[in-house]
Amino acid sequence: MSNGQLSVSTDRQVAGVLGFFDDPHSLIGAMNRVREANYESFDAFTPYPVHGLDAAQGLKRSPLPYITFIFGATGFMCALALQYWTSAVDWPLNVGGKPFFSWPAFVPIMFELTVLLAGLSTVAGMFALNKLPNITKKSFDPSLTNNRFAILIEAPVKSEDEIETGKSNFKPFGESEAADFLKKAGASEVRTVYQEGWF
Amino acid sequence: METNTEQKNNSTEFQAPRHWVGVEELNASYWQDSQTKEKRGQEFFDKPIEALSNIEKSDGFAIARRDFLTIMGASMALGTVACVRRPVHKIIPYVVKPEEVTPGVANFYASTNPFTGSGVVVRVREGRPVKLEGNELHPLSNGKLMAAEQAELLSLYDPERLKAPVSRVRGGGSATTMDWAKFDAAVVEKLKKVAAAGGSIRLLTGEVKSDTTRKLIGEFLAAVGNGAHVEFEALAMDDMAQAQELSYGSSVIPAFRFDKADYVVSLGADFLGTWPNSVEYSQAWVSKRKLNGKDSDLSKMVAFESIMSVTGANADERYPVRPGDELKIALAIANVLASKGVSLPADAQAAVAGHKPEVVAQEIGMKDGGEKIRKVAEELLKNRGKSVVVAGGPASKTAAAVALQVAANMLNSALGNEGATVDGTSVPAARAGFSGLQKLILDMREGRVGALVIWGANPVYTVTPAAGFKEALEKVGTVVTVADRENETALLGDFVAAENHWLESWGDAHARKHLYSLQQPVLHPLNDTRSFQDSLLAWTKGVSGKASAESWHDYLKDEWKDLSAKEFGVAGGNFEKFWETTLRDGVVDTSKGRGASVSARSFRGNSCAKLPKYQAAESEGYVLALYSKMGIGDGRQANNAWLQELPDPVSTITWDNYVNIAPATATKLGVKQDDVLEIIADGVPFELPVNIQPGMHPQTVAVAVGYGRRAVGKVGDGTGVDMYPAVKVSGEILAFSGQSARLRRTGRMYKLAMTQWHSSSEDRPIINDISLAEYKKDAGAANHTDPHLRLKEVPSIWPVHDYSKGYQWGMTIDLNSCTGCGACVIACQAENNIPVVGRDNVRISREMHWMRIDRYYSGSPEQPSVVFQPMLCQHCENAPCETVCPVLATVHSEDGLNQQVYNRCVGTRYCANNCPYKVRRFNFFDHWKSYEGTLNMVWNPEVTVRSRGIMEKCTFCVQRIRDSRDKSVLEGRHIRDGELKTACQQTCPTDAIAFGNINDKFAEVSKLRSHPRAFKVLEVLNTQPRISYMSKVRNVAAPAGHGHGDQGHEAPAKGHS
Repeated sequence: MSNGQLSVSTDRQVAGVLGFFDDPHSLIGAMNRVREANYESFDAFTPYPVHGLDAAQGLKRSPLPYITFIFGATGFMCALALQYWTSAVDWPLNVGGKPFFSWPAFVPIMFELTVLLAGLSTVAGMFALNKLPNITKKSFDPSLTNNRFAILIEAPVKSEDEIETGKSNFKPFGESEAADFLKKAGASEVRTVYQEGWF
Repeated sequence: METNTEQKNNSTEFQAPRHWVGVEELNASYWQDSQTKEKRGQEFFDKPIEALSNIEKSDGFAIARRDFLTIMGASMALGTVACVRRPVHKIIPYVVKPEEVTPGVANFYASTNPFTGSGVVVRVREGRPVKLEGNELHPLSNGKLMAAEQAELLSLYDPERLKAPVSRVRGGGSATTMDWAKFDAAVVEKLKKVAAAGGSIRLLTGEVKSDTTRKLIGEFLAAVGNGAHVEFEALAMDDMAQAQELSYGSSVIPAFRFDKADYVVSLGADFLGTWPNSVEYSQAWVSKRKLNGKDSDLSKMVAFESIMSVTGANADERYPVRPGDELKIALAIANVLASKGVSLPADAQAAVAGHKPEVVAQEIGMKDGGEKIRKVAEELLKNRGKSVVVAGGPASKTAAAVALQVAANMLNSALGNEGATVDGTSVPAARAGFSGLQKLILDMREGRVGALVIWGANPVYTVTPAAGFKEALEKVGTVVTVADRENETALLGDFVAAENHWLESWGDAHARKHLYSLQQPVLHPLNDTRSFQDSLLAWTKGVSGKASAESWHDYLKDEWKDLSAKEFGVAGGNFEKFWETTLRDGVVDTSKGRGASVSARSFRGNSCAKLPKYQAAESEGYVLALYSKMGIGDGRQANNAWLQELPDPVSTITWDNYVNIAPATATKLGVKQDDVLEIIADGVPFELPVNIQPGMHPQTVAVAVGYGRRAVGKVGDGTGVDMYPAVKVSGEILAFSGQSARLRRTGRMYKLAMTQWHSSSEDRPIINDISLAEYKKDAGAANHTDPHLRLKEVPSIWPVHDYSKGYQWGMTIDLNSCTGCGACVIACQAENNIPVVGRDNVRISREMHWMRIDRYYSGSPEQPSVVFQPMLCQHCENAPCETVCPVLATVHSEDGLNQQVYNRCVGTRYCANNCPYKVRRFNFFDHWKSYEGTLNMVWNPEVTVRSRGIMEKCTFCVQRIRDSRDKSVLEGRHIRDGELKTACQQTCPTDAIAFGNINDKFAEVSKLRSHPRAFKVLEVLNTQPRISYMSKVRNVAAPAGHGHGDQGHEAPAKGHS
C-alpha cells in the first residue's frame, strides 16, 4: 500500500483486470473491442478527457439536463408565483398606473431564480450521479494522471440469484481470460487489482 | 392649419419660443451655442459643482468649497470626540388637562392682525399655534391671507425676539436686562421728571387700527400732560390721503370696488400685490375675470408702470413708463376725455390742455402710444361708473405723487366712478403719514421733546437719513422703544420694553365703518414680554397714580361694553354672550343691512391747481424707482426666513434685492445678469447686482426697499442693500421714486439666488394662453395652444386601473385667476414643514418648496405678457416617478394620490430625474437642524419632519384628507365637496385652486375639469395628471403672443423639432 502501489495478493477478492495503454488511440481501439466483447462492467482511466472514448465505451447520454430543466422550471415558477402573490394578491400596489400583475417587471427575478436553481441543481446532480464525493477509492497508478491510459475490466459483483441461475447476457469474466484479452487488445501492461487494495 | 405650413416652410429662420423664461432665449445665438446646448441637454439644469464654483467667484463667499469640506471634516472629527449619549426626553402627560385641549386635535381661534386689520384664524395644537389662515367670516379676508401675514407665524417663534425688557446707556453703552417692576419704575421716573420740568412727551407709533388703543394712548398722554401722538408708516399712502383731502375734504385711503369695475387703469398701483388690502382687491378683481360658468366676458386692466409688479404682470395691456410718467398718462387721458366733451374742473384746463396723448406717448417712447392712450380714454368713457383709475405705491410716489393722486381723483369723479367703484366714505381716516413725523423731527431737533415713546415704528431704518431723524433723536432726553427686538431705533434709545408678538396679545381693529374685529392671544407669551397697551397702562398708573383698568384685557372689554351698546345695540346683560360670540367669530360686521354705505363725494375743482403743466422730462439718463416686495414689504419681517426665501413673483429671485434694468439698458451698459452695478441716486451711492427685467422702461432702474437691515437678527442682517437712504423728502411726503440715477459698472459679480431656470420643462411647451377673441370664437381653442401636444387616442397595452370608485382626488388651477402672489407657497411651507435652505442652496437649485410658481413671458422683451403657473406634484395616474423607484418608495394610493414613503426612500433620486414637471425635492441636508430654540415649535405635528437623504413632494395635504375622512367616517357620511381644502387652496386669495373628488360629478373640481378651458400639462406624455389647468384668457383683441410680434402658435423651432 505504500508509495501508492497496490500490493498483489492472491487470497483477496479480485476487483478486476487493469490494462495500461501508452496512447489514447490504442486505448480507444482497445475500448471498442472491450465493448464489443460485451463485458458487463468496465471503465477507462485517462489523465485527460479523450475524445471518442464515450462512444467507444458505449456510454449513454447523462440524465443531468433533465435535472437542470426541472429545477430551472421550478425556480421560474416560484419566482413568478412569489411575485404574483405579493404584488397582485397579498399587497397590491399601484405603481405608476401599471397593472398589479406586470410581468415584464418580474422578468429579472424570474430569470435570476431560474438560473440559480438550475445552476445549483446541475452541480448537485453531477455530484450525485457520479457518486461524488468519494474519498476512499485510490488511484491504481500515479502514471494514470500523467502519461498513461488504462482500461479496467471489472469483476461483476453478482447477486445470490444470479449466482444460482448462472444466467447472464454478458460475457463471463475470468481473471486470466480478461488479462489475455487486454494484452491482445494492445495493453502494454496488465495488472490484476483487488477490492482490498482499491477500496 | 395654414399658418403651420407656412411656418414650416421657413423653418430655416430662427423662431423664438412663444413662451420664454429669460431674455436670452430670444436670441438665435443662445440656442446655437454649444455650451447652452450641453447645459439644456443635461439632466439637471444647474450642476452643483459648476454653480458652487460660480458662488466661490462671487462676493461674500469667504470659504471655498474644498476648504469648507476640510473644515466640515475636522468639525465632524471633533464632534465625535466630544460625543455624548442622546439626551433622554420624557413625554409628560397633563396633570390637569385643560378643558379645551385634546392631544392630537387642533383648536382654531379667531384673531386679528392689528397692523393690517385682517382677520385670521389660528390653528393651535397642544397650546401652540402652527398655522395662520384667513378668517372666513371677516369680509376683507374672506378666509385668505397673503404670504407676509401667514409668515407671521415664523416671526412669532423667532428666537431672536427680546426675552425681557432692556435698559441701555446711550451712545453704544452697556445694556442691562431687568425685570418689569424695576423697568417700569425707571421709565416712570424719567417720564415724571420730563413732566415735572414742563417738557413735552411724544408717542410715535405705526398706524393704529384700533380705536381702543387710540383711546388708551389719549389717556396716557393726558396723564403725562403736554403730549402728542404721531402715526407713521414707511410705506403709508399719505400722498393718496393728502390728495383725497384736497379733492374731497376727507383724508382717507379709499376702498376700490374692483368687483364692480369692468375697466381698470392702474397707474403704477400694485393693488394685487403689495398694497394693503391686496387680498380684498385680488378677490374683487378676479371675480370679474372668472370664465368658469357660461359668462364669457372679462374685465379689462391696463397698467402703466415703472416696475414690473404683480399687478402689471396680470394686466391685459401693460406699458412700461418712467416713474413720474404716470401723471402725464393720467393727464393725457383727461385730455382725450375733455375733447370728448367730458367736463373737467376749470383749474385743470391749463394742465390738461398741454398733455396731448401723442406728445406724451412720444416722450415716453410708446409705439403708437397716442392711439393707445386715446383708446384707453374711450374705453373709460364707455365704462362710465363701471371703471376705476388707481394710482399709488412707492414706485409711483415721486415728488409729484399728490398731483398724480389728484389726477386720478379727477378722472374717477369725471367718469362717475366716485361712489360707484371708489368708496371713500366707509373707510377710516388715514392718519399715518410723513407730515406728522416731519413736525416731530423739527420739535425734537429744537429740543421741544423731553421724552419719546416709539411703538411699531423703526424710523432710524425706514426714514431716509436726509430727514434727520437720527440726529434729532440725540436731542431727546428719554427714548423708550416698545419693540420685539432691539432694532435700529431701539439701539439708539434708553429703554426697550420687550413687546409681545400680536399672537400673544389682546386687541381689536376697526377696519371699515361698522366692521370691528377682536384680537385674542393664542398662547402664553413665550418670553417675559408685555403688550404695548399693558406697558402704557402700567406707565399711566405709574405717572398719575391711577389707571382706568388693571390690565389691557379689562380695558378692552370695558371699551367693548360701551361699543356693543352704541354700535351693535347690545343690552348690558347680554354683553357676556356678545363678547363670547365675537371672540369666537373674531369679527362683527354690521355694515350689511344698513343700506348702501357708499356715497359719491363731490369733487373740489380747486384741488386741480396742483396739476402741473406739461413739461418733457429728459430723454437721457436714468430714473430710480423704489418698490416694496410681496414678502419683505417695508422690511419689518426681514428676519423671517420664509419670506426671504419666497421667490419674487416676477423676478423669481430670493434672499436679496437687486437693480432691475431693461434688456436694452443692459446691452447699452454692457452688463449681464448678476454683474454688480453702482447706482448713484442723487449723489447717494449703492452697489447692487443686476437683474435684467423684461418690461422695464429703458430709462428706469428699480430697486426694492426693506433689505439691508442692520439690527433685526441673523437672517435679515446684511441681507441685500438698504435703499431707504435713496428716498427723498419732498414737501410733506417721502418721494420714493423719480430720483435721477447714474449707473457705473464695477466689474464684479454677485450670484443672485434666482429660481427661474430651475425645474425647467426642457423646452416642452407647458402653458396655454389665448385671447378673449379666440376664446369667444371657440371656447375649446383654449384647450391646446399647441395642437401637436394633444394626446392622441392610443390603445393602452395593459389594462388601466379602475378609478371610478371611492374618493379620487383631483385639482384644478385656474391660470386666469392666479395672480402669482405666492400666498400658496408660504401656506404650503407652513402646513407641510418645508424647511428653508438658505441663499447658497437656492443658488444651486436646492430649494425645497413643494409648490412653486413658474413665470413665463411671451411677446417682446420690451413689453412682454406674463403668465404665472403654480406647479406642484401632478399626482399623475401613470406616474413616471413611481416606475423608476427601485425600492417602491413612491407608489399610488387607492384614492389616486402619488405617495412618497419617507421610510422606504433611499435617496437614489431616480424619481426626480424622471419627473417631467420637476416637482420633487431632495433633502441634501438635515435642514431641520437649523431650526433652533423656539423655531422648533413651528413644525406642524401632523406632518413628518424629513431628514437628510430622502425625497419629498406635494402630498395633496394628505393629513387634511385623512383628517376629513376620519371625521366623515365618525359621522357616517361622505366627505362633502368644499369641506376639505388643501393648504394652498385654502389661502389662495383668488380661489384659483379647486380640489375635490373627481368621482363626484357635482363637485366644483369635476365641473372645472370638463370645462373647455381645462388642459393637462405635457398631456402628450400620457402621464394622466390629476391636476388640470385652466387656460389663461387675456382680454386683448389680437391673439395672445401675436400682438407684439409675428410668432405663431407652433412653439419650438429648437432642439426637438
